[in-house]
Amino acid sequence: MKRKWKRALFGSLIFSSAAFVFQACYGAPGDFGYDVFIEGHVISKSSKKPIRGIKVSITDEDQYAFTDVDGRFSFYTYERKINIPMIFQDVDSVENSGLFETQQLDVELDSNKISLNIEMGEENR
Amino acid sequence: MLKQFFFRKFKENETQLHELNYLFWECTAKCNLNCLHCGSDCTKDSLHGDMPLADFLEAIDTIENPAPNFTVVITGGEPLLRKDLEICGREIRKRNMRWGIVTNGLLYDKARHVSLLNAGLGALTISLDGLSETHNWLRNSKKSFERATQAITLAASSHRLNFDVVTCVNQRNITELSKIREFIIEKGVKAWRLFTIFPIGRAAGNTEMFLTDIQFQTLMEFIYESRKHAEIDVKFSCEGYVGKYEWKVRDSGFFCRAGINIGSILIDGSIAACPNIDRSLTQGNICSNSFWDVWNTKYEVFRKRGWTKTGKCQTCKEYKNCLGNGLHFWHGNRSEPIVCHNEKLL
Repeated sequence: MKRKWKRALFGSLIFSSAAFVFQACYGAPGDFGYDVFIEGHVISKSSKKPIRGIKVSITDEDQYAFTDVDGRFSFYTYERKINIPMIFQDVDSVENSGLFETQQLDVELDSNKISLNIEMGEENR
Repeated sequence: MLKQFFFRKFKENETQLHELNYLFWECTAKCNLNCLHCGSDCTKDSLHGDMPLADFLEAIDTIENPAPNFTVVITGGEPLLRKDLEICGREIRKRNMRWGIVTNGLLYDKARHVSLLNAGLGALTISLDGLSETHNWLRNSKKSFERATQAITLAASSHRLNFDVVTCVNQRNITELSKIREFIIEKGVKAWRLFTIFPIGRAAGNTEMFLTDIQFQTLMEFIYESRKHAEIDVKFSCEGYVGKYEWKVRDSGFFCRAGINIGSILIDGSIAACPNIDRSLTQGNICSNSFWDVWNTKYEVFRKRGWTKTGKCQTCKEYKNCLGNGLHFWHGNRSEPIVCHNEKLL
């Protein structure tokens, strides 16, 4: 504890926050950013069965994932001061046993781990 | 003078604290390039197989209460050759740790960029060693510049990544540093680190790799001048002590934190400080030792550096600030460092 106190003292006396923020000479910078973890489960509104192959995208950043065979997805994305705009799209047409309507969502950031349960309706043709 | 005094006190205190903030994992010795300056002599077909992810995870699971912002930096070889990097990244994040990679960018395409971000990648370094001709010469590949540039463009587009470009300065690119700076600013890069090359691995014996003393001074002046402009954060790497340019070419003074705040798990399971440090200074092996026990009970050779006061360092007036330069410059019988940056500037 005493040494951590000394760290703060000497660090402030050299007027450089870089004393605390460093990177190894041949390494990447440290990661001091913030992000949130979003996971979810996508099922069919009518059959209640999981849907695989749904493209889950964040529309203000070029970031996306696909649901797996159990209809699940997860990813990290940077923390925003605004809601996260997301879109769920059936991009493989009828391969995943149906054609589902695109769904848009503004996800509120109330914690750094968000769980979503999405039901997608089938498109009428 | 007073600043240096307090900085020495700060370094002494950090050495006593011995807090692990940064862990390299040399996940593969394979590489998809055959760079002229490679210090590790990496090739496409390494003698070492990739370390199984389970072995690495078992080692980091011994770490008790990781420091805030503790970062695992995955290196190689070329880490993107591993197909399980994203699985590894997610496992690291599950343990409340953060992670980053150092890459040559050759395999960093849009799909990989997205999958790495999805897996919680937070820090990234991409190598760019010149404009097209000079980069491809050093990287020994005709497609390397184009791929590295693509990787840089993708990385710069991310709000999430703490990202920088690194350049190894040599005889061929020293004259185009201003053009490289303009090029990467145009690509949206916010941070640029410059290195010199030191004579180990494939670089040893190739005089085109190394700067003359005058060229080294030119490099220091270039960095010093570049830091006066706000478009990009330019700095000299923390590879060595640079005397009169200390605090002018970096945000902080020189401090080799190898074995003080930085540890490594190498391809053969060795527990070390930085991967480029002479492997005779290995402190244990994850196959037979607990990584955390080794971190807490060994590393004395890194924390007590009196042994470096030998050879040219013995009578050097700057020793108390430099402490033997970067420990990666001590090889073989360790009679003196193979590079002294400060003497290039006298």
